[in-house]
Amino acid sequence: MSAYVALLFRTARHLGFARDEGFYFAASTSYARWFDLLLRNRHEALTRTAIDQAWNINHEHPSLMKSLFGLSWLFLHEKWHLIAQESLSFRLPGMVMGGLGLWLVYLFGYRLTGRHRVGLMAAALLGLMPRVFYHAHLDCFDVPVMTMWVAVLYCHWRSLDGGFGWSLATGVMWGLCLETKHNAWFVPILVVVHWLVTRGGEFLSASRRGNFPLPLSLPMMALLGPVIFVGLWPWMWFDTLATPDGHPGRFSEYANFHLHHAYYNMEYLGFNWFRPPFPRSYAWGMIVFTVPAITLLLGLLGVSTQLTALARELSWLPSALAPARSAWGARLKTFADAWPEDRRGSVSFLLLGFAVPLGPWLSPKTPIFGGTKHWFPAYPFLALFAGLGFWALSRLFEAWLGERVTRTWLAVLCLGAALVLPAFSQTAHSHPFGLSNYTPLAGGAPGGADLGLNRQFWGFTTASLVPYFNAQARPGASVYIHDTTWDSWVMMQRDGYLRGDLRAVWQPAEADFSIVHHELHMNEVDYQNWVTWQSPRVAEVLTYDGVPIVSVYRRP
Amino acid sequence: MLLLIPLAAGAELVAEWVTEARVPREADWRAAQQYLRQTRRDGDLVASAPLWTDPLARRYFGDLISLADAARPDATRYRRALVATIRGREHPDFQGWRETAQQRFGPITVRTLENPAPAQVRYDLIAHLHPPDARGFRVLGNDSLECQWRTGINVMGGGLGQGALAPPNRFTCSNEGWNYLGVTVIEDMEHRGRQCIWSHPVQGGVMATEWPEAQVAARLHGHHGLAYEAERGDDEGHIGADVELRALVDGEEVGRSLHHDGEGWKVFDFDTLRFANGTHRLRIEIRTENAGMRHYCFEGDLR
Repeated sequence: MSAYVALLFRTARHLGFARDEGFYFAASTSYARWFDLLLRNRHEALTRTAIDQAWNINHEHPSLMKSLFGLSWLFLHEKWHLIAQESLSFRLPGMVMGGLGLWLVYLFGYRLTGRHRVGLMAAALLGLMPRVFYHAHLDCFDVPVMTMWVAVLYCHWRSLDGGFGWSLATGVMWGLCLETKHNAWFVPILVVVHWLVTRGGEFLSASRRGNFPLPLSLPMMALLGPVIFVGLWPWMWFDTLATPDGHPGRFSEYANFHLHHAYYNMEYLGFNWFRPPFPRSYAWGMIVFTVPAITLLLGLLGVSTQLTALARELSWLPSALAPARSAWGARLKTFADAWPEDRRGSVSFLLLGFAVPLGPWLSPKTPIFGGTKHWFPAYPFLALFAGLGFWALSRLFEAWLGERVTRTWLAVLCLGAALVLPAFSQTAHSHPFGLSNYTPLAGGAPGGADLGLNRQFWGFTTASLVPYFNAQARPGASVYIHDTTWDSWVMMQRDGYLRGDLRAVWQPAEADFSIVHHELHMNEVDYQNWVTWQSPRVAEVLTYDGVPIVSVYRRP
Repeated sequence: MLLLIPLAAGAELVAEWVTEARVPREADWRAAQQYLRQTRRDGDLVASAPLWTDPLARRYFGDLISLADAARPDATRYRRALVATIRGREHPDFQGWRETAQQRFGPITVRTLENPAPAQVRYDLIAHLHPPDARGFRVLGNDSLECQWRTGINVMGGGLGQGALAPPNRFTCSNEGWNYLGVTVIEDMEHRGRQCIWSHPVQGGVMATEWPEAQVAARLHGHHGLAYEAERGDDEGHIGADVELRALVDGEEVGRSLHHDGEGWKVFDFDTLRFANGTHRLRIEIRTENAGMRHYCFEGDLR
């Protein structure tokens, strides 16, 4: 875990700042100043005026991660000077969450099977998904909520064996997950569905006797979730449900923002999708095009090896399916047995852990603008199945090796390393163009361009042009920064990476240099430059594997 | 199974390396540039394929690609195209063209393509959109207000959703910034840039452009469309009103074309044979029932 965080820390240095990061820099700073005030003058900090002033900014998203970003900046950069580069101090909590996510996946895999190799392989393959690696650098919420999702589900899974402690932990973690990002609202659905499919029969028969054996996690979540959600988010302390004059309160505002979110634009298979109906294949297509094939293959193997266990868990399946179940079992038993009989319904739990985050994209009305990041919580479970697939494969390998080698563990380690290599290679090659990267199944970045897949979003690739601007621009030159936010531009200067005399401007005509981030629906900005300069000639094109990422126009 | 998955991992690794190895290098583009400079003749179109390589073509061959070439309405007027091609892809503008030569520069192949039936353009409306060749009018009822030709105006605006920008030289027709006749570039529904004459219709009236001494040929050929964000409609699927283009030669109608949202960069082709081989007054009128968000543009030539 710490190695992954160290790797993220080291490779974040020149990774450009995404649009949303710019917003969160500003919000986190505001929150951090409130925390500082809280330490100095608690009475003043807890007034509504102080709270509204500090927490109004970016109040459409919960505050946990932004608070951590801000506290990291306040203490590690501003007060204690432990991190010299300001942006890194904001980003560090996100990176730590990425590392924690890998550790939790390892732990989950190990606890599932009692085999380190399952957990290790799952963690490695999760960390080596190019998109996860990119997002894990950022002061954003997508990797943190992936980690929180695993954390809640892990606690709940442990609680299914009984025990008050894990149920209590589930409630606490769900509250923290809610405070991280709204994906958390799907956790209760998963818990209930899992309970119904694995213990629905028991529940029915018990309920006839007047018993209602629900998992203890559910009441804990109901009790603790909202308390933590509101308790850690000062913005929600006032007018939570309604304003004094009876209008909907702040929770309603938060919910409506996400329930009626703008659709934005996203290219997929050559078409710019901007309003529903969106293609139902989007999530699956993007998984195939962005997750290394070896991870998908091992994941499929992992699922197939657990079908016997799954059939056992779904005992309510019609008896007509029993022969099919045993046929599967007979065929697949060769590869791996499930872990010893457990009452937790672990395989269906893992499957739901993967499927529920993807559920919203069954609806053609769900926005697709986030690319893959919005279903990141599914990926740890894909990785866990890949770990199970590796377990099955390594057992076959061990059987094949027999007495031929003395250090079997070393041979298995080599096999694991060989299998991880393509994912490692793609992830290493993807940096710092994580959102432009496509797997060999798509034909790489050029194949993605041929297929008409989104090239990038958030305007973060401007950072890759900093050496060009630093070298080419006259003192005080202006740059039209297109999709990059002002906060993101300024952060490059505060970090000392971009020359401080270069000015961001908002129309090409005011600029000495004008950039265009290549996304299909942003082509119009290219044409605006053509009209402005009365020429289509570009001075520089930033490419990734030969694919245009950013064009630079220069005042003639 | 034991072999299959490690083999798949190996194949994935090799596929990645092969993709990276096939990426054209700077030196390949430079070599193609040298070849194009030597080979290109006046009137040749320089382009690249697939379409997504267009910024690279404008980077390396920028001095060989004019604004009119880059934002061409179609390729029918060109006799020959030199197309820097990678990955064996085709450019949609040159379907049916005959390849007469090809030269390789690493992964780049410069293909020489010949148009089997190039059009002979006698008079291009965009090229002549300036006084004294052209005049513009905003007509409301019986009032015909002549638009004023202005030059060297600062180009203002830009950014996502801002649409086409008003050019520095244009006929301004009112104090409204959008109410002008001028050569701009719109993003069409295929996201391609199209150079055309901005002619946003006015409510209850007509926007008219006249070329008093147009050299008329057998046909008036052109396209019309709206800027992408205006034509695609809003998030609820609401679209705008149809826009009608009406062409008159010496006051006599030669054709009209109705543009409906979603039709994209729509071609029109009117018979003007009876006026051919002489100079005549050509007038294009644009009207609509509801002028809201009608970021409309047209282009045409007499051929």
